[in-house]
Amino acid sequence: MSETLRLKVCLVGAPAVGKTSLVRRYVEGAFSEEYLTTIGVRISRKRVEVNGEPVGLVVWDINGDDAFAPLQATYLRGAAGFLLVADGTRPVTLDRVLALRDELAEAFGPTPAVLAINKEDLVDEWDVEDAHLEDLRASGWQLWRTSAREGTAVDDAFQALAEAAVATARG
Amino acid sequence: MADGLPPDLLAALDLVAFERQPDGHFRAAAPLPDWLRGHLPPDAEGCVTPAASSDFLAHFLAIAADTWDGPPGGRLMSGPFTEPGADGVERTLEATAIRAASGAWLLLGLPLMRYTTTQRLLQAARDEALDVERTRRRHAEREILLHTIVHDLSNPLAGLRGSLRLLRADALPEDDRELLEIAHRQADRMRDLIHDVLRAFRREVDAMMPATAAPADAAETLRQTAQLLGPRAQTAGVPLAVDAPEALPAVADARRLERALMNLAENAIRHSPEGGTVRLAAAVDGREVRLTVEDEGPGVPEDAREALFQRFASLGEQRGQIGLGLYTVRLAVESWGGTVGYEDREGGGARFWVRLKRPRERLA
Repeated sequence: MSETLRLKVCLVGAPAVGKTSLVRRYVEGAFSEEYLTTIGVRISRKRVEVNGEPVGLVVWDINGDDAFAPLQATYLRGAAGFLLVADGTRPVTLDRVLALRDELAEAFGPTPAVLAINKEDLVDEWDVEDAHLEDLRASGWQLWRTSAREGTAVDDAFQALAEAAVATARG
Repeated sequence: MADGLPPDLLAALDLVAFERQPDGHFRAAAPLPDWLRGHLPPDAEGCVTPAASSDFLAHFLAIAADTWDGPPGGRLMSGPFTEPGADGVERTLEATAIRAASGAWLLLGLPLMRYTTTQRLLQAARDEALDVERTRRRHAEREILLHTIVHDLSNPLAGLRGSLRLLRADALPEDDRELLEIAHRQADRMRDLIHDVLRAFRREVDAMMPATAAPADAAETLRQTAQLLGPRAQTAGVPLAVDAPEALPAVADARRLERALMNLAENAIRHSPEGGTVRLAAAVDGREVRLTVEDEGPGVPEDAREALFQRFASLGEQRGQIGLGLYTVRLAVESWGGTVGYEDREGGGARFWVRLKRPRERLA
């Protein structure tokens, strides 16, 4: 069955939180230990099913937002959803992506967003308080503790984003 | 445009020029190279429809319409993008939309040289930033250990000092009174050393925290620094002068920037002759914000400059200081992607400068 809906979703977050690894795990089912910073944008495609309907996800993996290479708004226009990615071993990346969420809402209006706190496999280094995540959930966030290395909850996070994006696109 | 250029020149540059047609197609100005044929297959007439085979270009062409419909001279660059082409092969490309007097053009090329160079530089910067974060974590863990040890030392030391205080000096022979006085002084010195070690360690750990999302107002921070140091400068007989615009956003953490500026300004006051002015200034300098702290003292000797911002650098600092001040300033500034340095002030004296990145524009 051909896709009736094609949606652009963007991954945003600080550098080295694992955005590219999440996409690679999701699209190719693979993981690499090597950290290679993304320049500009890397686009991948994945076909998913939402409520039995085939949907084409065009996944925009955008370079990490920092002082060295700031995020460009032009990459984000037309996004049907955002996967906001933070690194569970670096709490400051969660602060940054939450601040970014406010900017995105201001610039592009209400757009579905899902939060992925990545590197769940690094148990000894995990540094984000469970209580903080519970507070975020309680305030309405769809939130997943993911591991691109082990594949934990990666499909769930993208699927949740796809479902939210489809629901918004269908009105 | 391409009429005046030999087609093989563009090919040698790995660049393809397309002229935008009224029907929305793009006609290549020269035969397409193989790599582009795979990415954007042309039709029988040599035209391509980028939006049909490239998700990125579909997005870019929509934005570029304003440039093409605008006055001649307009240009819009996409930045590098990586995506699979119609043949399934992933390529990194860059697109440029140009409005020339001769028409509306789309340039597509392989940004290999610049892309590789940029990636190497960005990778190095981010690897450094990650190293700083990892070091901070290790330091933070050591700090806990250090606190525990110091706490274990402090408790018996407090007992020792208490016992010494309770000893009645007047009941002791003259020689013993002198020994008691030495014991008092040494115990106090040990307490001060413990405090110094803790303070220095905490400052070092703090200086390595990465920048928060919200930019700091460098001008306001500079004014607050001057205000906080006002009484000390007055006591030293050193007037403080501030030259800063009303607001000056910069990539930094306001609280730690204030501490870094305090460090530089305290140094300046300390090395300034009585009556010499210490000047604090902030201004935009291209894509950066430049902060300077100047004094009219003797300046930094030539042979001390190389190690000036290193750990435990000796700058003839006052006794009791550990030589971490400028080091922690450098750690903090570099954690925000900035730089710090020293130069002689024209007319004599020292000038320390801090360059910070200006924050990106709000998304819009």
